[in-house]
Amino acid sequence: MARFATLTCPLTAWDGPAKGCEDGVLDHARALDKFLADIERRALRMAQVALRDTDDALDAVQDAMLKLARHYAARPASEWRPLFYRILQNGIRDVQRRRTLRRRLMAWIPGPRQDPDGEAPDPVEAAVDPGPDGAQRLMQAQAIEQLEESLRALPTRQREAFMLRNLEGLDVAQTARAMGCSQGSVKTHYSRAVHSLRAQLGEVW
Amino acid sequence: MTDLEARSRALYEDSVEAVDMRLRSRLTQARHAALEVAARRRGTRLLGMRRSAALAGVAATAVLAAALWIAWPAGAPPAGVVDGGANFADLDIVASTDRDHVDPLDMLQEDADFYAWAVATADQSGSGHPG
Repeated sequence: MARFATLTCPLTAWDGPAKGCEDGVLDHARALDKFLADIERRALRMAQVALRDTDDALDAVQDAMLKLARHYAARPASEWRPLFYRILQNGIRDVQRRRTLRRRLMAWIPGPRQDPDGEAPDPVEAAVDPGPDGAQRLMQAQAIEQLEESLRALPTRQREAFMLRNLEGLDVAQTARAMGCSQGSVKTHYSRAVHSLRAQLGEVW
Repeated sequence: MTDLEARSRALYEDSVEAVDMRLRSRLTQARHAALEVAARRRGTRLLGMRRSAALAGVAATAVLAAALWIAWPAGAPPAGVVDGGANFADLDIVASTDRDHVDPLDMLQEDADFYAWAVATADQSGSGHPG
């Protein structure tokens, strides 16, 4: 069995120990675990900003993790980040499309209008807990809320470019791969996004 | 980086750190599910490679056997008889003359008279004996 195991590692000698190969597989699994652990909260926040719904955002992140693990886990670790964000952006767009379709369908159904996403948010639950540094945290919460509102107001591609480039720290090439467009397009979208955000937030900030 | 970019990034980082424990727990579960999928996928691929290697070995053996079967028809004489070149070489060795040794055929030619006499004598003495 050990001889077959070496077949997965082309660089390992035929009679060499398969342990090195197993170690490589374990290292790869650990690297994937670390990558997902590092990125999961950021991905959730990105999805929350785009979707405004925590459950939908969690579903989108979980789908992105599963797809990455299923289809791209064997790729070099350096490729995971742009791939993951591309999968996530596609998932977010799918959720948004489904919502649009659902809203159109609901518009045709007679009767009292209901929120298709479920119950109205509980204002008590939604309220920010002031805590010990209440005033400062409240201001911070308001600032992030303003930022999220401004980001949601941006066209999709501009929002993606700004979030990936600035908030997630991807370089232009990685952002282009994640968005599936040219680097020139990334620069254009990003520049317009910054301009729009400055126009919206400049007075408040 | 402009003020707007720096501040928005700092706010975003704070909000990432502020993700509550319930959500972190669900993210961890999602991550473990993804890692399980990756492990299963790796196992399936490894098994597939082993099966492919075994099938390739069997196929190579079958091809080799078929090639030998076709190239070596049934009822053919052994290679030593079929190989005429080897037989002629053997004859050459037997028929070749060597200065240091006496050829048995030459010996037979030189003593032909002696052998003819010996045969005749033997016939006469045989016929002379009673019974």
